[in-house]
Amino acid sequence: MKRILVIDDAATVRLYHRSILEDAGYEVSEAVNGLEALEKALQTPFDLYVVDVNMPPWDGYGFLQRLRLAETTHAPAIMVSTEAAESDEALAYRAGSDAYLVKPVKPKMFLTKISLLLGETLV
Amino acid sequence: MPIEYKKNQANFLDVATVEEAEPLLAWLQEKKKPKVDLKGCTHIHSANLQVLMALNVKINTWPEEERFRAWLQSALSH
Amino acid sequence: MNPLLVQFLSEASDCLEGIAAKLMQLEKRPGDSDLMNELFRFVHTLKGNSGLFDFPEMTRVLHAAEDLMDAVRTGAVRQTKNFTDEILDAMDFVGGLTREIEAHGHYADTHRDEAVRIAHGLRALLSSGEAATSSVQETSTSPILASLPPQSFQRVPEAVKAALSNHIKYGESCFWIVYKPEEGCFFQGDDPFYLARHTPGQIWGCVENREPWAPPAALDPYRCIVDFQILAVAFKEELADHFRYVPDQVKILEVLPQWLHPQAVAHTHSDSNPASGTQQSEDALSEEIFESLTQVFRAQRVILEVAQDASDKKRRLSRIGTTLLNCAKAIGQPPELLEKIAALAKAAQESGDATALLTWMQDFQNAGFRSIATAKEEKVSAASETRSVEEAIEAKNAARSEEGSPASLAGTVAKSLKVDQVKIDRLMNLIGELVVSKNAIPYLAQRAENQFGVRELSREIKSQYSVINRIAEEMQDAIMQIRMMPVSVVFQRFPRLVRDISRKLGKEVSLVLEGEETEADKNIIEALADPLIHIVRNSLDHGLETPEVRKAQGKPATGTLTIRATQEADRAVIEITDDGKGINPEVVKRKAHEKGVIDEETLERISDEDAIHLIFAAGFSTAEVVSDLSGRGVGMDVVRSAVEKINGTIDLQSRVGKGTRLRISLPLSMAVTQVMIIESDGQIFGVPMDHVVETVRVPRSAVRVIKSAQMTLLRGRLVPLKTLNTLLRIPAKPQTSADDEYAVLVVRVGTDTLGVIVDEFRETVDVIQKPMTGVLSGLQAYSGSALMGDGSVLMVLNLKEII
Repeated sequence: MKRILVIDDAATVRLYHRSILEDAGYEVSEAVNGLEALEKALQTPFDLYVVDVNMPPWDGYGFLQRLRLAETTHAPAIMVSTEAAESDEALAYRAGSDAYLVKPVKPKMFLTKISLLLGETLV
Repeated sequence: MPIEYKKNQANFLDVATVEEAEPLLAWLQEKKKPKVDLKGCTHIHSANLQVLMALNVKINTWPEEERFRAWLQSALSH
Repeated sequence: MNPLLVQFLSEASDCLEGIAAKLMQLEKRPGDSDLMNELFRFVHTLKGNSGLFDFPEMTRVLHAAEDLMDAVRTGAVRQTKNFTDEILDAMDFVGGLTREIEAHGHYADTHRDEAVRIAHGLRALLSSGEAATSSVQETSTSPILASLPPQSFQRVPEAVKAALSNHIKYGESCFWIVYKPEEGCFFQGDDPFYLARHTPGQIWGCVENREPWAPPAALDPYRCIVDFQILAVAFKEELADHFRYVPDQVKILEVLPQWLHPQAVAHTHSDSNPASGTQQSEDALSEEIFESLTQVFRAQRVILEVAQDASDKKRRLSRIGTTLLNCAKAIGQPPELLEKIAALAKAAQESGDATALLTWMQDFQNAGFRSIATAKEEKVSAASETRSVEEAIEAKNAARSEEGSPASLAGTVAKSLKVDQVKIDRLMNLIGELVVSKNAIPYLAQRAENQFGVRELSREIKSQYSVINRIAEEMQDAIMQIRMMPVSVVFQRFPRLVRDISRKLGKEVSLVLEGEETEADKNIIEALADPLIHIVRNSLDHGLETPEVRKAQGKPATGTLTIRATQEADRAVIEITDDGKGINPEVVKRKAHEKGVIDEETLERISDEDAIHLIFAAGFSTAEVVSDLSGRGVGMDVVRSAVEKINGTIDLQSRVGKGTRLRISLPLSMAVTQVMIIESDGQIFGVPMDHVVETVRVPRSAVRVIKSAQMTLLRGRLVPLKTLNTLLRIPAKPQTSADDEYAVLVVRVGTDTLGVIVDEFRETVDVIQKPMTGVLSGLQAYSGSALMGDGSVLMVLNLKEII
């Protein structure tokens, strides 16, 4: 079973993502901010990260940049943001995410993208 | 950054501002078959856009940024 | 209550408390940036959470609050007493909503206007000092709704329309923005191109000049004459905000689903893969997958673009390679392709040049995310071909199996369904009703245009009608196919019948059945049974001779009776042939004359050919000469009417001493007939359009009476007139119009043209005629009945009979 780390400071959003992901058969862990997320990731690396952009103390970018520097094998990361602008998307990629979604995420697209990034059979 | 004018080619770098529109217009009229290189360009002021559209200039290299390129291609291929 | 909602309410409560507390603190320490940020965070979180549910009013208010908060904390707007009051008001409102949600699971609809007012008030503070001049104001409760897209929308490329369709499907709000900057806007410091390019959520845009360009020498580049059109997936508030300085130069229209024709989406997918054609097989990627792949691919390109330096690029290429590999794996690409991707990625990493990889990505995407190698496609199209063959067989078998009919006769693939006849009949009726009731739609469209003046609506209705019409016709065809039965259903009883009768009559008969698998509609097959049996009986009884007689004539002792069914064009043809003694025209002539069917004159003049056909005449029955078997007082005239009732024809060929051949031609299915509805004496009837020549209004004065028959002159020809009421024995006089004119339906029956006087003409409709059954089948005046859209029954006139 693939393990996904959901990082967001809003409990409701974490629960929302958790319910979608658990229904699809993933094992879900949570972190409230980038710091906690990095600690967990360094302990046991996850298969995929769902990263919110705005979280103190480091925002999602900060977490990703540090993750990329620290990790040995690259795990895909989806950045989730409230912004739909291209510039924000580009920032996300610069920081090290592999895909980008705008909140609120639509379950089907969310899961499809995750499957694509994880190489799990879709068709 | 101002547009770089080489013999027959105009290189747009970074952002082409509003003041550059008139010189650009003049230069384009002078040259027989002017070429325009937008590779390093990130934005052009509407005035410059109008000049390029009005003179139906041939673009040698389009900018890299996808959406910017799409905008320009739609404007300049009519 | 749903746990997510419970969680939301709990967090909302925390946020609202936090906001209230921070606001109070902020009042005491204005400008404290930490407090500001904390305040912002609460509002931001609350807004994000509310977006997960269907709480647009709440989200709208919170969005406005967030924007205001953002402006204040960045210093763009000054914090004033107004600010605190407005935010508190807004949060009170939100609090009220959460209380309602807690009690009922949702809040009432009535809060919309208040939400708009509050949001507007908050945004007014944003443009501090400036009056909120935005024409796309919050008070306008809905964006401009245009049911049809503007002309310029057509130039949006299909791929974008497909993506747009997806956004709409997911409930995202999409807008079509038309931005027409005013001529002197550059002097205000505007750069419209910049503004257009940075529209939030834009997925497409284009720019064009609104007047022809001046020649270069005369061109004024500082006079703005370009317009922009933009497609954006965003909140309306975001867009309004983005264009807040030029509200009167911008028009924002909401993109509605009906702007996008369904064909557009399907088109994109089948376009991108010519090999598998338009087949909707499992190997076509679903929309979500297609869309996701498009986005992921685009993301990879951007990821590569934003690489900082060479080593960063290298790391990225490694990641991109992994991502592409995973994507390919996810959509089931063959190992050869996976290897290729890995190789391309590695090469790119080593050389630092990603061109080959990028080219492959573009090609792959253009091919609709399929491997360009033909191997898979051939396998796929072969698979889909076998599938369609199987489907065809399935369909055939489903059509056959109805109540234990000999579906097994065909002996092909065993996949079929046993369906209760009643269910099929019900389906048939419903479709019949649909066919009829859809006819009302074009009239409604006309009324919309003529009576209510809504042209665009009328057009839309008509366009939708053509879709419905096509579907209804296909459905009808489909149900007809289901009702198709092979004639073997009827044929199967003949071997036994022939054996029994021939035994009884002491004759030797060999029965040959051919073309049993020929199919026709169930009703037709069923109606065929009786006439066929009678013909066969006749043949055995009167046609075929005893062995002795045959031998004496040099014929083989065993007579042959052949029943052959074939399909010719859209008809089913049944031929019953015997090699018996044939029909003797002399005998028939005399018999007919005896019975008063023909007079002396005809007796003399009639040809042999016509004489033979006299057996079909009403009143001609060889009943007395008949043995107890075939004689039931049923003559060939009954056979013929039975055949004609199902729209068939019957014909006869015979040679004395050689044999007789009867040929029945039947329609394959109960087609839809077009009938014109006419009214007479308050009743409505249907007249098959096949017979209708035209409708005319004949003034009373133009009706002449010649030899007690009514006539009128129609374009130089004398046309006999008959009143429908008289024909149907309705004791009423035909009504004339206000101008004292008769409504005359000019019909052609056989070779005769005549006018039928009715009270009024009504519309023409498509109906499925059902033959009269049971007691009513004796009513010759009607060829059938049809169910109307409103449930009433329309009697369709059998003109041939009544005239």
